[in-house]
Parts: sequence; structure tokens; C-alpha cells
Amino acid sequence: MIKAYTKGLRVTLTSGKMITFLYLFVLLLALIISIPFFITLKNAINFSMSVYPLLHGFDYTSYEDFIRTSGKILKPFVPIGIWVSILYLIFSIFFSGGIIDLIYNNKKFSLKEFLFACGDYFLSFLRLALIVIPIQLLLVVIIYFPLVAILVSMSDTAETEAGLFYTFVTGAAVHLVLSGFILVIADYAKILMVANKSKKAFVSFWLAIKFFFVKIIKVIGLYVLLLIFPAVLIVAYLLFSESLFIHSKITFLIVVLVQQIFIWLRIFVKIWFLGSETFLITNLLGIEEEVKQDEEWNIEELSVDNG
Amino acid sequence: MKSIKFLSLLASITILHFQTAIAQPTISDKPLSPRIANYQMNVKLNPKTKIINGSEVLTWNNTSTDTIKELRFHMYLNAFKNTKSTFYKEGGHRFRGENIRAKDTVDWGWIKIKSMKDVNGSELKNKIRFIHPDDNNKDDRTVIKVDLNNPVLPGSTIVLNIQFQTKLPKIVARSGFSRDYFLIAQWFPKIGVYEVPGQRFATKGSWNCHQYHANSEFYADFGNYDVSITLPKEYIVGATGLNTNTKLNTDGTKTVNYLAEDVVDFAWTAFKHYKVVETQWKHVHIKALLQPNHFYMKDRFIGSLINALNYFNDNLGIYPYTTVTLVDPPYYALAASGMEYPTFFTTMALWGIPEGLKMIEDVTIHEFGHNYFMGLLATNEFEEAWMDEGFNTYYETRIMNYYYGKKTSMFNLFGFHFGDFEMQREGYTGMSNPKAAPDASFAWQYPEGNYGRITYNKTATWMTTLERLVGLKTMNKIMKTYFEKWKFKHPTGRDFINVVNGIMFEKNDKYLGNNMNWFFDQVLYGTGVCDYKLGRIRVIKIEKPRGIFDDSLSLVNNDSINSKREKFKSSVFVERLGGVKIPVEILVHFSNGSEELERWNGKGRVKVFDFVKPSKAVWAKVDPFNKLPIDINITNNSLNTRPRTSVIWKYTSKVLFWLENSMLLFSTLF
Repeated sequence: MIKAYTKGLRVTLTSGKMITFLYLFVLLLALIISIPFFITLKNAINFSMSVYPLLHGFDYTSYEDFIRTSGKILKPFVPIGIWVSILYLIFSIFFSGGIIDLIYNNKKFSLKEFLFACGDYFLSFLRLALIVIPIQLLLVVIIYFPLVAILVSMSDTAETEAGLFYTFVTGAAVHLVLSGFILVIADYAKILMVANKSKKAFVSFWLAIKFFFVKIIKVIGLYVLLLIFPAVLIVAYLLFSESLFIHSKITFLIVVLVQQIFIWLRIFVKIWFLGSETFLITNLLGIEEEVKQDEEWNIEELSVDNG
Repeated sequence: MKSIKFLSLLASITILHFQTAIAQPTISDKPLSPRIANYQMNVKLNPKTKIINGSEVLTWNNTSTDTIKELRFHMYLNAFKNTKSTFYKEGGHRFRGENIRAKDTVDWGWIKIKSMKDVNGSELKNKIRFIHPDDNNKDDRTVIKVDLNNPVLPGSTIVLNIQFQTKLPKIVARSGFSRDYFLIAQWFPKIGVYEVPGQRFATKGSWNCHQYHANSEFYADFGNYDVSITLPKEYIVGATGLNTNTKLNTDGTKTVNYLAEDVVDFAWTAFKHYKVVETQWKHVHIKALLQPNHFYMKDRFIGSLINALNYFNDNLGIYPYTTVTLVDPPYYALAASGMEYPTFFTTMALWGIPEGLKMIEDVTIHEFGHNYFMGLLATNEFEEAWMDEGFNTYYETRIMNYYYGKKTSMFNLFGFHFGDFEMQREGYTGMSNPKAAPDASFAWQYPEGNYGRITYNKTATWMTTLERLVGLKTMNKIMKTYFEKWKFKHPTGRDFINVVNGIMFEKNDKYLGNNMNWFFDQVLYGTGVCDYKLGRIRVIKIEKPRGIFDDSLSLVNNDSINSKREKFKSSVFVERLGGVKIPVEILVHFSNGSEELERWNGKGRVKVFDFVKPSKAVWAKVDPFNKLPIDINITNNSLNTRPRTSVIWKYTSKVLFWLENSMLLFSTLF
């Protein structure tokens, strides 16, 4: 497990070009919205000075009056942002194939080969996504509908609102954990599809589920380990954003730079997750490099080592 | 004998000392108010049936010059009897988030008089009639009139012995029960106010006794309340006034006695699980009845109450009572929270509420503040709700901003913050139709959804505007004068305006004039909005004069004139878009760093200010010092010929960042 963790980190550290490519893609998509937003905001503010107090912090009155008078023209950006995010989800599915192919086959990043691998696995990963995403949505229904019913019935008898709060938090925590497990299983399914050169989404998903439960401690252990760095990253960013306010060009540039580094690191973390998971499943299934290309895996048959 | 006399004298001195050592309900030995309506009550609460059986001895003084042939009473809790009451028809049951389940009979409430006798023992119950002075709703049972066998002569008193029964409703609006929690308000037959000619709007003597409306609160005369409450001994009780005695009975109940003097109402609460916190502030004994899971926040409750006491005493007037009780209802009775009664009020809290969200402080300060406006000035909340809610909200914003920061007093979490006054202003300026109704409307006549925004938010906004126009010192003088002159006297809006005008007459302000009728006519009695706009800045370089200028017909091309110094004519156009006209300031900033402050009476539609200077006007602001928070749109109050784009860059970079995060978040779905 620790080996998989560190190996995953090592391979991620050598994947700078790929990460940068993915980051630039995210940036480009975001700029497609942000640039028109800039122009719209500029036209909305026009020559008014009423928003200047917003430069050095937050000012509710300035913000509120502005939104009331100009909010309508900015409102369309919200659904556009959501649609672009959904579009990015599809691109993310597309890129997953290339990412796992590069890690699993220990290739050097070449844009042409990367995109070729992405295209190669896209439809099968899309089929897998059409299994995983509905499961995620179903999980929301399974958890929250009964949770709401429980809360409603508790509200007639619970002595304090703290009881209601803890019940809700427990339900939400259960959802978060289960949702995380589904994501992990999906990752392993993707890795198995690349390893097996298989297009069978449902079979790979089923194999991944079996793998998850057979090796549950190591899988969850690795997942928890991997969560440490993003947690530290988020805390660090929040501390930074509280301590530095934009009051000059230099501070503005620093803030923007730090924000973009944060985005780059988020992608770094995603690669790290996939890399570590690839090495874990490879090790636990005892796959040798030269064997990988020829044999299909069968979890019951293969021996397991401690990775 | 001598020794007996001596001992008697000693005993008398001891008793006298003991009596003076016992707390009194007010700080004065003398009556503070006319004490027109006085109640002595003995009541018993049955927590299982939710019924109160009570006897009430009402002593009512006729201070008018009229012979009173009938009395009128409020029977407020009949508003919860069925869906045909005026309160229900107006949607009052929905306003605090709860509702009475139609199938559950225990949820409904009512009040009835079992017997009403005068001093002669004559039964008056058969003389009781329900009346509907506001809307002719024959099904409404919240006002009765009683024809008297013996009229009450001017200057004399009537004493009535009333046996009544109250069934408490499930708490949907202020009063009733929720599970084993009781907040008992407007629960007894309460006599209306007989207004004499010249009092408030009365041109002749008449009863002012309105039905219970969804949006109305209450109005009553001052008096003394001597109330004995019997209930199971496990219940912890809090009430208006001073707890003078508690007696344990042999049947598992206890009887608690409360005495309140010079108050307009009496409310009480009973709950087994309160945690009681008591402390002293100067002459005021503070008692806080808190929920056990809110106890850890007791400093927030007590601290904010003490802040309010300090601020009101310093800036408005002395709180004349010796007690105040703060009640924290449980989450399942939140419809009883946020309400005021003399020396007794309910606040609002939720477990886990962070320090950055000042809900506890805001509600505590606001509800305590009502003691001054509802309780001591005792304005008519039916007819002039703004004088209570609006004035109190104005003081709430002052106190909250003073103690917790102008920009952070309401909410300060995660980099997002706003102050109390900012929130109140937004409540008014954010109305879909700020012209919906004049502030000075009867409470039930506001269009739906506008009562709160107009009486609370708009009033607080124009009060703050008034303060900024006349200055804080003058505003404090106005309010202190108003309070001292009119406490215990039920003033009207006109009485308040007269106080303002009296002080402004002395001040004789150059821009505002010597009275403020023009201000109140617009913001209080009118529906117009205030909106000034900085329309345009035009800068023209002044051309040197050329041509023929005198009889000599000689051509002048200004070689002789010092032409090295350029001059510009800057014209600043200020427009009035709204109907409200208020004197306004305009600040113009020039390229050489100089500034000019101009004043305009705000009356015309457009005013142009011209400046001839060697430098150009760069930017200009209408109302640069925010004296007109009632201006509904500040985005059009300024123009900069050299606009800065830094704010745009900042928020665009934020949008970019959050868009990127959103995309990456969506990608975690797979």
C-alpha cells in the first residue's frame, strides 16, 4: 500500500507535461466563459464608482445594489457555467483513458499518443460512466429520502435540534463515504479495462467491485492516505485566502498565481490517485510487466502479495 | 406598657425596613403612568388539557369626560379558534412557519367568558356581543362589547369580576403550547383603549379596539398587574414583572405571584427544562430562561441584553423597571420566539450557531428594545406599527453596529459579511415595489408581503437618513425629547413629528429648514422613492476668444492674452429620478487633486454644476458621505471619466477560479 502510494507519487511527479496539458485545457474552457464575463461586467459597471469598495474586501451594500440593478445580465453565466462543467465531465472521461494508459504502460507523454489512447478508450469509459453516474444518483435517493423521513419524524419528538443535526450529519457522512467507494471502484474498473485491453464496461466494473471487497483494507487504506494531501491543500488555500487581500496589482497577481497553482495541484492529485491505484491493483494481482500484455486477469486464480 | 410600645415600634421599624428592602417592580415609589386598566388575576393552568381557568378583577378608570355606557375587550386567542377568523383569513397562521393541523382539535385555541359581574353582582355576560370594527367579518371573535347596566361616569371607576377560560392553541404565532412548552400571551380578556378627543386621531371620545389581524400587534392602556398562577410544581415560570411569592401547594402544584406596575400587558412562560441564569445590571434584575442545549451560549444572551440596556439608558432614556426576563424557546416552539412584552421577551437561538452569525444578539437587542417603544411609549401598533417596529429597528441597527461593527454586525463568516443596517436598508431597497404603500398605513392594510419591509426596513432606513441629515447629536436630542415627553402617553406620528419640528425650529438649519414636514410628507406619508443619479460629466476645453470685439473693428487673436494657461469647463449633470426630493451634496474631483463640494436642494429634475478651472473634472459623486441611505440605487450615484478596472479583474479572476473548481468537481463524479 505504501509502495503504491509512493510509486504513484513518483510517476505523477514525472507527468508534469500531461498535467500541464490537462490544466491548460481546464483553463481554456474556463476562459471561454470568463472573458465574456469580464466584458459583460465591464459594461454593467460602466463608469460607476459604486463597486470600488469591493476591491479591498467585501462590501455588502455595494454588492447588493449592483446585483439588484445589473444582476439580470450576469445571471445567464450561472447556467452556462454548469453546462460547461458537464461538458468538462465528458472531456474528463475522454482523458481518463490516456492518463491510465500512460501510467500503466509507463509511457512518456506525447500529445499525439495520449490523445490516441484517450480516443481508444473513450466509448468504453463512457459506457462505464453511464453505469457509475446513475449509481451515484441512486445513492443520493437511497440515503437522503429515508434520511429526510427520519428527520421529519424525529422533529415531532426530538428534544433538541442538536439531535436532528447529528442525524443529518451522520447520513451525509455515510453518503460521502459510500460515494467515495463508488468512485474508487470506478477507478479500478478503468484500470482493469486498460490492463485487459477490454471494452467490457460492466464486466470490468463487476471485477472492480470484487477486487474492492477482497482487498478492502488495502484499497480503503490507500484511499485514506491519498486524501491527506488534498485535505492539506484545501486548508492551506483557505488560510492563504484569509490572510491575503487584493489591494494592488502585485497582490492581485499573487492571488491569481496561487489560485492557478491550486488548480494545477488538483489535477496533480487526480493523477496521483490513478497512479497509486494502478500500482496497487498491479501489485496485489501479482501482475508482471511482461505478462500484462498477454493475459487476462482472474482475481480468484492469481496469488496475492502484500504490495 | 412602655416595653410593649417600644417593641411595637421596633417591630414597625423592622417591618418598614423589610418592606423597603423588598424589590419593587419599578424604580419609582410613585405611579409612572395613568394606571387606567388594572388587573388582579388568579389563574390555573392544566398542562394536559392546555386550558387556563382564571378569575380576573378588572379595575378600569374612566379618565375621560365622557359617560361610558359600554366597554370593549380584546379576546385575542379566538383568532386561533377556526379558519374563519380574520387572523386566519389574512394568512396569519403561515407567517411564522407553523400551521395548525385541521384534524387535531387540541391544536385550536379560544377564550371565553364564563361570567362577568359588576360590583353589585349583576351578571353582564348576556350583554356581551362580538363586534367587527375593521372588516365586518361576522365570524371573527376577537373583539367584544359589553353594555353596562350602570354607565361609568367621568372620573370614576368600574370594577368587574370576570371568570374566563382560555384554551391555548398550538403555537403558530406567538402564544400557546408546543409539546410541554408554554408561552402564554394575549390570554385574558383585555380591555381596549378609550381615546378622548385630541388623543391620537380621536375627534370624539371612542373605543380604539381593533380585531386581531395577521399583521397587527397590540395596543392597551397602562396599569398594574397582580397575577397568581397555579400549575404543576415541576414547571419553571417566567413572567412580566416581579416574582413576589412562590408557594408550594399540597396537591403537587405551586402558586407563583407576579406584580407588574405601569405596564400595558402581562405574558408568561412555563417549561420544565429551562436553565435559569440570573444577574444584575444596575437597578435591573436580569433573568434568562434558556434551553439546556443553548446554555453554553449564555454569555451571548446576557451580553447582548446588557449592551442594549447600556445603550438605551445612555441614548434614549432610563429603563424604569427593576426586572427583565429573557426567554429562549425550544426549536419546536420557534413560532413563539422574537416577541416582546413588558419586561419580558422571547429571543431566538439554535444550537451550534456560530459567533459570526449574530442571530441571538440581534433578536435579543431588538425584542428588548420594544420595551421602550411598545412598552413605555406604547404607541398603537394596529394603526401606526412603524412607530414601534420601525423606531425599534432603527435602534437595533445602532446598537448592533456600535457593538459588533458596521459591516459585520449581522454576519461575518468565510469572508462574506454584512452589518445590521445594511441588511435593513436592503430589505427596503430590495422590494419588488418600494412604492407599494405608505409607511403610515394601518397594519392590516399593507399589500401582502410588504408589512415587514415597510414598517421595519423602510422606517429604519428613513430614520437613519434623518439622523445623517440632522446629525447624530440632534437626532439623539430629538429621540430623548420625544421619549421623555411622551412615555406612558400613547403618542402618534404627528406627536413625534412635532418634537422633530420643535428642535429643528431651534436649530434653523440652512439646508433643511426650520421644520421637517417636507421630509415626513414624502418618506412617511408618501410612497415615492429617492433616487439621485450622477448623469454626466462633460469637459470642454475653453477656447481662447477670437474675432472682433470692439468698435475699433480690429482683429483679436489673443496674442496679448496670456494663453499659456489652459482652462476647462467641467459640467456635472445631476438628475433626480425618484419622486422624493431631499437636499443632496455633490462632490467633484479634479485632475489636479482639488475637490469641490456642492449642495443642491434636490427639487428639480436636473441640476448642472459648471466649473471653470485649469484642471478637468475627473469624477463626481452624488451624496458622497452617504447621508441618504434611502436612495434606492447607489450604483448610479457616481461617474469616473477614468474608470478603474481593478474590481472587474478581481471578480473575473474569482469567476475563473470557481469555474475551474466547478469543472474539476464535476469530473470527480467519474
